[in-house]
Amino acid sequence: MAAEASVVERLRPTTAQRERIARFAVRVRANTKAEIGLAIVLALVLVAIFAPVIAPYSISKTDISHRSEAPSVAHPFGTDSLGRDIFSRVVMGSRISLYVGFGSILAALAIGTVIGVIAGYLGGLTDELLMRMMDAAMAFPPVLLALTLMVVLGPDLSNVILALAFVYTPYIARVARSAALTERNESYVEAAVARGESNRRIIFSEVLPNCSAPLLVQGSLNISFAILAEASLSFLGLGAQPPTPSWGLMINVGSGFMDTAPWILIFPGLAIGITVIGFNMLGDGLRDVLDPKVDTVAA
Amino acid sequence: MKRVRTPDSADGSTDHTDSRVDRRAFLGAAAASVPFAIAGCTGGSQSENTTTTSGSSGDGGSGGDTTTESSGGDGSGGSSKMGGTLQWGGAVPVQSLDPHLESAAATQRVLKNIVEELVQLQPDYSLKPHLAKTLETSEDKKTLRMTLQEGVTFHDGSEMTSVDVKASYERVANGDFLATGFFDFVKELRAPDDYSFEIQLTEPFAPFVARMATSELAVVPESQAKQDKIKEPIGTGPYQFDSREIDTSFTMTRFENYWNASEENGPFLDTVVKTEIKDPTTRLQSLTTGEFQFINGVAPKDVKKLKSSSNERLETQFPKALVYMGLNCAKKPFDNRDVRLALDYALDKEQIMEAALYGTGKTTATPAAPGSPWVNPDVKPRPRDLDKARAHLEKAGMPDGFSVSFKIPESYPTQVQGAKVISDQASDVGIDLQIQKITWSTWLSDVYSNRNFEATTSSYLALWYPDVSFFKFLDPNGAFFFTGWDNSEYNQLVEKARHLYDQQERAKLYHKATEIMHEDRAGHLLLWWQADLYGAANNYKGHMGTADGSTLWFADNYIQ
Amino acid sequence: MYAYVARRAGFMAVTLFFVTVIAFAVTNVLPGNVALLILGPNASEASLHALQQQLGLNQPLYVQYVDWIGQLLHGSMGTSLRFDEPVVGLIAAKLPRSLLLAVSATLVAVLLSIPLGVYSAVRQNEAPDVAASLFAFVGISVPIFLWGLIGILVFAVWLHWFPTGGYVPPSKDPMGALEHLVLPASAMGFALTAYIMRMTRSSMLEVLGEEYIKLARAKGMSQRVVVLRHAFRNAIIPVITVIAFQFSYAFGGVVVLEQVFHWPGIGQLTLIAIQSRDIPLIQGCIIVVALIYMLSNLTADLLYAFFDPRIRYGGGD
Repeated sequence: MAAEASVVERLRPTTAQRERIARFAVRVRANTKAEIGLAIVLALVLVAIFAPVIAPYSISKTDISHRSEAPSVAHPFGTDSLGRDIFSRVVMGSRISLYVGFGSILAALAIGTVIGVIAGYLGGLTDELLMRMMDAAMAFPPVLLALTLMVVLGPDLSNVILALAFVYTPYIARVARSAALTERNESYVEAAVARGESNRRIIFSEVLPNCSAPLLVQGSLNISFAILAEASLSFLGLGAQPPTPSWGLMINVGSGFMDTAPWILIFPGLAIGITVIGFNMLGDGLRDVLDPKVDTVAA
Repeated sequence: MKRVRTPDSADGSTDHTDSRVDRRAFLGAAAASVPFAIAGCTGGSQSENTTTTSGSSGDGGSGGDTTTESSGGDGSGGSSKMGGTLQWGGAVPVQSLDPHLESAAATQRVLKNIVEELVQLQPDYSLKPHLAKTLETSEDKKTLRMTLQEGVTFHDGSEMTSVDVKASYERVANGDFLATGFFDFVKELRAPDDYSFEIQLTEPFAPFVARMATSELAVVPESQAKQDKIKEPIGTGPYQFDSREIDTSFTMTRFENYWNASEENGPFLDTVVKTEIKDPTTRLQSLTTGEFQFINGVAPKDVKKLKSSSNERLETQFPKALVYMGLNCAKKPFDNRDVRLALDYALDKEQIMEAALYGTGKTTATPAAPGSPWVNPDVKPRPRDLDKARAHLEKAGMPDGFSVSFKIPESYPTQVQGAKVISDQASDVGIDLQIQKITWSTWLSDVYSNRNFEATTSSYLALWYPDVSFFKFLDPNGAFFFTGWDNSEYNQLVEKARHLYDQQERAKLYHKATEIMHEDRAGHLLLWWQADLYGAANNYKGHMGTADGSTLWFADNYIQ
Repeated sequence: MYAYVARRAGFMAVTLFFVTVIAFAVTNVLPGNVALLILGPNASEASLHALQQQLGLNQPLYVQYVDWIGQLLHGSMGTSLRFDEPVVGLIAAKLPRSLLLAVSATLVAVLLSIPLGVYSAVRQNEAPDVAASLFAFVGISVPIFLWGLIGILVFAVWLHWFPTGGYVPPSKDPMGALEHLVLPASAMGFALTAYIMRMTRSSMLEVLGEEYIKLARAKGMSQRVVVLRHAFRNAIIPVITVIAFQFSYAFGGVVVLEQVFHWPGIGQLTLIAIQSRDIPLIQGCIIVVALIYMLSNLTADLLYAFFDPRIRYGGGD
């Protein structure tokens, strides 16, 4: 019987693991796409963290006398139809996008991974049943499903996260399942079974950590889908509520001023574009690094 | 048998001015009647236009006519004005096509051109006989006798006789239609001969005649009156129903045998095609690119653009709707008068109106129609005063403010825009109004029906009838009462006013009522009056808009 | 191969069952009151209740579900509460337009991405390759509705080349129909380009590296002949499956796209249904959309399997 090791000891990376991480980091650095992507994402995270400091004006203070002004020194991105500073709103909006992006995908990862690994590892009827349910959820186009859920849940940012988590869980589950299927046949699993470890122990301590590579890739790709989905939902009026500076909501309002004050929608549009490009590059780059043949699923 | 023009005028005068809108005459005429009950709004929409049941037929073709007879037509159209297809960009989709049942203003805008009524609302707000050639009331005002126009053809070719009129009225009386309740006062409907029609009332009831001018009592052929639900309306109007695709388009074509056609007054257009474009920006773009010649529901922010455009013009009609903020007086915190006053003092109504309407509106503290005798000139909107606001909050025991939901129907962009400014201004004294945009259907069930709200916004249409302004929304017995503000002194005043005919006496009561409303800070915090905004290509001519401020009448429009 | 198809079809049936459950569950938790919407705010409690009774909204959920499934199996999706027309009719009228849009978008994507993909492969890692990659990347990184809005601004409002939106039936006016189709199809097509292009490129690269290609070159065949005749024909095979996937992605995007362009398709119908709480219509719409989405994904899967010799000649998933 293996002696019980303390949790802390088990979590401390072994030398072998540390080496793996180091090699991984080198390969990431070597891959241009991943590097650029990582740079963009990190920049975004920094902007989001320091947003209240960076943003010079309030996001909700209206000032009718300065409405719809073109970009100027005082307002580098111009003002919107209520006189609010667009630069401040775009900067604060980064928090919304990251909040939704990370929030929904982390939730989807948490739930989807568990479902997928259980299905993949256990196989049989559990696998079939779980996967059919996942297929059913994937049978709906993501935005359609998300917006129906939003109508049920009520328009609110935290509900967006819930809805998107629900929508993307199946995609994560699929990836987790196929990774688990592969891992199932590995020798270390056989060894664990031989040792008499319980299924649960095997799944959570052995199989799960080794599935992290494809999940990481899928996760970061899905973050960009989630950000795009939130923008679509807010554009349709079913996401963030005013005065929340969601980029999608800003575009929704800005579309009414396209010909007279295009800056109202251009800047949030650029923001979304750059953010999504960043996450896509990161995801793509990670996939190149980890294993070009890793099975990822386009949502 | 005295021959009176209509039973509605307080003093029986038949003063017609020219076709210019004369509000005073109208309001005088309206004083005696219980107003068209505007049943509130149905149907979600994504546009400016609120819906109403007060549809009435368009402005009279023959302005300045002082006789009691409605003129017959000569069947021929004007010279170069004839022809053409009007591409109309509509804001709210047409819904069901049964005139007796459909209350949405958007549908009324087309139905008004297809079916007609026995009497018609004029630009000066008097009622004139239309399909009825003459209208007489008995001395005791209990019997209405009409002789019908002869030679009126329906779109299916049949001739209109009293059989059709009686069938139409009976349909409403015996079914479950919008005007059915009014038949409680009707004892009998008689058609003594082919061109005579009589209504016997149980007691004098002026509003019934007013109802007769709306499509709720439109005349349809007997064959249609038998149907449970009319899907393809047949009427006597200048245009006939051609086709429609739900939520997408609606087409009507000129009726060659329109009984009231004339060279000056049309109908001229061959076809009217309405395309539903819910987004106001796209609608305007389609006007400027020439895809449409006429649009309704121009967004206030686009007014400047339209005015400076060389190929299109802006047409307005004011006022159209009254927008207010609704506070739930039956729930915390707005059950406390000081809290309501605090909010009132925190808001700069001019700024809010400017933000939402770009200078096309007016603020107000009374629900009485501007220019009417019911307006109390001494009651004005409270100016913004943050100190007073904070003082009231302290008195209420909430010096740090509070947080409530603020439910806004998302289909009204001006209300959404205004709400953002309201929320911002209120936050300056610690009142946190959390905006929740909801669909119209949710508004109806949540806010109106279940009264599950703290603060909201809403609107109602231009109200020429003081009873609707003061009673329907603010008296607990009113049909659209939902803010829970119940002040017995106010109630007494407005209930008494319903039964008076003397304008001055009525005005006194309404003035006092306005004071009370203001002092006690009623649950209706009035925000602004807004206008009907239309866009038209320069070659599209004729009258825009009608007397009721809501429907459209295309008979005298042409393209040149 | 046939075993594979049969298995997949079987799975689809089970999935379909869960799809109906989801569709039903989601629409029956909707807040808002349909009867109130239909009858208006002045309706009495009694008539509201009567209407709800008539519409079957007062019965327990499982009864409603079974009724609904029964109806479905008989080919009926009920009557729209808002439009008072059979749901099947409403959907049948609007669905072809969405399909037209999705097919056109896919066509645009194919026309753009395949030449680009081939070119990128031939000029691997050189400037054109990088530029094309960037182009495609940008395409998928900006939300589709934004591309639509920009397209409208530039090509309709400023240049007046195309209308700002709307639909013209091809049977009535082919030229007009095309005019109205260009902007929405391009906006969506642009977003689809990336995946097809990437697959074309990588597939071409793979084939170009194959032995028989090198042999052909050694024999002296010109570059162009080699590329077009031999490599392309073989490279295109996996691309077809990606195209099929992109079609379903295009179809899935109709909800948002139709909103931007006022395209009266099933996406717009679904949004209207959701906003009016028109339960039968919502259910009908999402079932139909899910079905088509599922079918096109299934087709793509099958195509993939068809071309994958491992599955074609036996073996499993």
